[in-house]
Amino acid sequence: MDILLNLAMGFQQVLTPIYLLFVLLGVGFGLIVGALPGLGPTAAIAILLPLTYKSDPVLSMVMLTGIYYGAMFGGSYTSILLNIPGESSAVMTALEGYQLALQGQASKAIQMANMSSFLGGTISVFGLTVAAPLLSKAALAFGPPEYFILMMLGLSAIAFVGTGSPVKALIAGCFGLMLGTIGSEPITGAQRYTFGSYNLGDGIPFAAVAMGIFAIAEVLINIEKGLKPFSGKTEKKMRIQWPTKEELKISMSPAFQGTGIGFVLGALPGVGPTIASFLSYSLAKLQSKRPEKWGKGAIEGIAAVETANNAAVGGAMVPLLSLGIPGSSATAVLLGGLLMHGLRPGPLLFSEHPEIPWGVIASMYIGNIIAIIMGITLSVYFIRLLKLPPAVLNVIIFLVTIIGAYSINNNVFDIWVLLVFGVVGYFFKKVGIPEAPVVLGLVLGPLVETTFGQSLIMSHGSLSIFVQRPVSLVLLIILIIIYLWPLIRFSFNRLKYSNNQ
Amino acid sequence: MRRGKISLYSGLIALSIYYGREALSLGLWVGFGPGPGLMPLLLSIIMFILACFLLLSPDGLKNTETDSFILADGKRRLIMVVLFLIISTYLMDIIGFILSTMILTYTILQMVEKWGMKRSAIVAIILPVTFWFLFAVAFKMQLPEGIWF
Amino acid sequence: MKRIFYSGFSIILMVAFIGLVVTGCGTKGKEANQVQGGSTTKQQEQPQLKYPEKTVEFVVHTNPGDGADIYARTIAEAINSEKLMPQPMMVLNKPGGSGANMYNFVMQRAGDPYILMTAQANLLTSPIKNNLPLSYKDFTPVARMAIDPLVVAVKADSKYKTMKDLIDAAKVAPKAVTQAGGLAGATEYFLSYIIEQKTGVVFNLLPHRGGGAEAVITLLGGNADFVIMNPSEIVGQVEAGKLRVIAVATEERLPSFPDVPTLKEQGIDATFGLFRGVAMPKDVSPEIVAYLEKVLKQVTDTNKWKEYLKNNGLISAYLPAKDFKAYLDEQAPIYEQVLKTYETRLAN
Repeated sequence: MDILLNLAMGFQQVLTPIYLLFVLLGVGFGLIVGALPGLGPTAAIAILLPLTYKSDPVLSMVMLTGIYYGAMFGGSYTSILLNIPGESSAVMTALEGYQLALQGQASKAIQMANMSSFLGGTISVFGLTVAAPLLSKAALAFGPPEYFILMMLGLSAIAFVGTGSPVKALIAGCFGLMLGTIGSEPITGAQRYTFGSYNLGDGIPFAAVAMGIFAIAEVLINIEKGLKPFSGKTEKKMRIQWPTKEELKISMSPAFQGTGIGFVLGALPGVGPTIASFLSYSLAKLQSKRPEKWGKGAIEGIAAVETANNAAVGGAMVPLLSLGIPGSSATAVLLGGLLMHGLRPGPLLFSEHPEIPWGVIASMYIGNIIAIIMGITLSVYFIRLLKLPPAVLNVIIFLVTIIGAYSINNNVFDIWVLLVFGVVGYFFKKVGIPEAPVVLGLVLGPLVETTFGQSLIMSHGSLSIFVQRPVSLVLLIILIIIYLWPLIRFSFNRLKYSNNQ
Repeated sequence: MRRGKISLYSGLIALSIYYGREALSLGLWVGFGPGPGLMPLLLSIIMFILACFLLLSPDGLKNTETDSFILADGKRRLIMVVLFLIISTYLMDIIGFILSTMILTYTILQMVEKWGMKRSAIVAIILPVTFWFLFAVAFKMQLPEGIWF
Repeated sequence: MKRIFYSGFSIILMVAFIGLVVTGCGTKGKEANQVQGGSTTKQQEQPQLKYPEKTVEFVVHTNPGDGADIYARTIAEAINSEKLMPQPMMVLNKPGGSGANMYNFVMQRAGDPYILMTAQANLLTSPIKNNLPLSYKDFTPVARMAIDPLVVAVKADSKYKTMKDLIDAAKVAPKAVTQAGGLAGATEYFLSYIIEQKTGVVFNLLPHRGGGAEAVITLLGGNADFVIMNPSEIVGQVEAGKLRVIAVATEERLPSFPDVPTLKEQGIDATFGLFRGVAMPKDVSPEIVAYLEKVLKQVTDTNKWKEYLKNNGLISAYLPAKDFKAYLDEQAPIYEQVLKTYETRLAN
């Protein structure tokens, strides 16, 4: 009952013209900036943060949160249209969506992404409304050993992303993990593979690598072939295409599963949308009745990924709103917005100022509706990009990725990283080494290593810590089953085969 | 194609050897457990085995794509584009975002895509300025600054 | 019908964006007005020095929303709204390379009087940790503004009530007590290092990639025994009764925790705090440094600054350029010594 009253209060506050305008502004800005490669939600919030310095704290929180989920919505567009994942959680969207775009189904893929984003976003806000205190307690039960096993689960996705030879997928994953070791080692602080350059001290920036290896490599290949890029078949009429009934039907279960995974993993500090999207994708592929279609334009893959990474937004708000602790880089910047107004973060902030969390939650319900309407509207214009002359489109991709890479640290060094990995990606593509595992390894590698080291510090060097804790034991069993799944399926099939004989 | 693949796999093997050698010097084990060099060493061993496998197995060298490793007529275009990208990135800090991307746009359109000089020049002015307005003015983001902006 | 619907939406979107741009420009316009207001009064005072004649940039080594960023924005905001300078001050973020990106940027601007930068503990630690070819001596100190004190905190239901409980537990065996903190070499380990030196115990250090926020989560989850943090990072949790502060590392008790004894009161002779200051590139003329030093002194008298200190639990500790330089000279060897022994300390 309390929840309903509070929520009603939140809606009362948000359903005023000024609040609606700020939600609209935030979502619109988020959609557009999120669609630009290299500028994920964190960057989008950070850009507008200084501008909110002078406005009311609730208003600015509502707007900044709007940017957050707006950017998650928008993150899928360039992944689908141009094969440029602007953030790690959109890598899997690019995998399936770009294939659909090449088949002339870009609009359909984008609408699927819009609908999935809306579904994931709205259900996770509902979850945030009813289950935040419960989930935040559960999140605290996760210590380094649990995280380590979770990261290893995420790494298993390497086996599921490639379409071709598994050895090549493993090579790509291993290459990504190697890239992840560059920079200062988290436990001892030792400098590794930095070649004396301070620019590498914080590690290789993920966004620059992803944009290089996906987008620049693609453009280089198209320039070499003299092909019209990004448009195997462009639609003749630039109108909205919707997914068919059958496509919606097969997307249902991945979508709901993705929402659940995204919301729960999003609530775990430091995990966030990336692992959620990887895991949701692999699980959905594992259950799919047509796994051969995955990696070649399976629309249900988009549903699985986009629900997961949008649901993670609602999840990421759980530790922020109930504990007052940011669990991700994006929520850390959001919290910075509150600090700028002189508010102290902590559990009491939200019981002393209930208008902030409930205003934000209410605005998220409304914002998701605004985001899907805007997303569908804007998609028509985004698809027009494909109608530009190929040469101009190539140049635009160069410019946008250059800006995106520079904006990571406001440093030209990251543009060099972008170019180097463009060339690396070109050679990988030529040989048929998939690019997604590289990104996966780069994102997860440092986390795997840190959490493993932390676990051993906690246990003073004993590996038994992974089986002594109940949560980690359960996760470990799941991990073993997933890693042995091919073997299990193989022997199961053998058994069936011999029974039929 | 075959030769290209062989050289790429050999490159990966060389990378894994270099990487593993560095890892050894980083220290494999510290008091509580794994040292900074342990994970890199494991990775380099895995990479070495995988790359050797591809190099030696007939599967690894089989043609997966129909085109050759580097197309003869595309080679020139490709090298030119990469060169222009390198030059404009080098110039980024010296002459600023607008000028260097103007050079990039113009050279790609005119010399790689063989557009007319006038048309290339118009696009080379419009695109960078539009982007500069969108990002630097409207979004208030920082872009590389040089002598100009 | 559909067309109208879509064009309607695109119009709304356009209007929204124009609005966005206008608000952006609006704030700029306001700053411009302030400039005119301030220039008449200020320039009469200082007729000989023609400075500043354009916007002064304050470079920050972190992303927007971070502690250092809020610090810089508070100073800029105080200067702009109180018209302490005839020209506005603008904050510029150069994150990355744990500060190295900013130091490199500022070093390239040697002699440029329109660049200020944050000078914090990072200035002393980052060059050593990352083997940078620079040191704090490559910059001109302008002023120290405040000290960010450090406090020792445990979970509210922890069995450690005082520092003595903690040390006694740690004395049972080396590494029996775990401290959660940021990445290797983070400043929160400096105080624990000093405590270790004074008491002869060895703590088990548990680093976190996500910095202080993640360490607090680990502590709340019961996976570590204590944290050492700046008050601003934990005061919310303390007020909510989730964490408890058992000691502060200052000379006197902190106004925000009047009941918590200092380390000295508990028999450990250790005081340590992190400074927050302002520096400039090398080779800036002394008149300009003197001018800015005076402006920053005026900042410390503004309400905005006082409110900032109170909200973040900082101690006002203004030092002019000369004293700040002496302070840095005195602190640098301490930081260096801690960092140098740190690696061998972790390896055992």
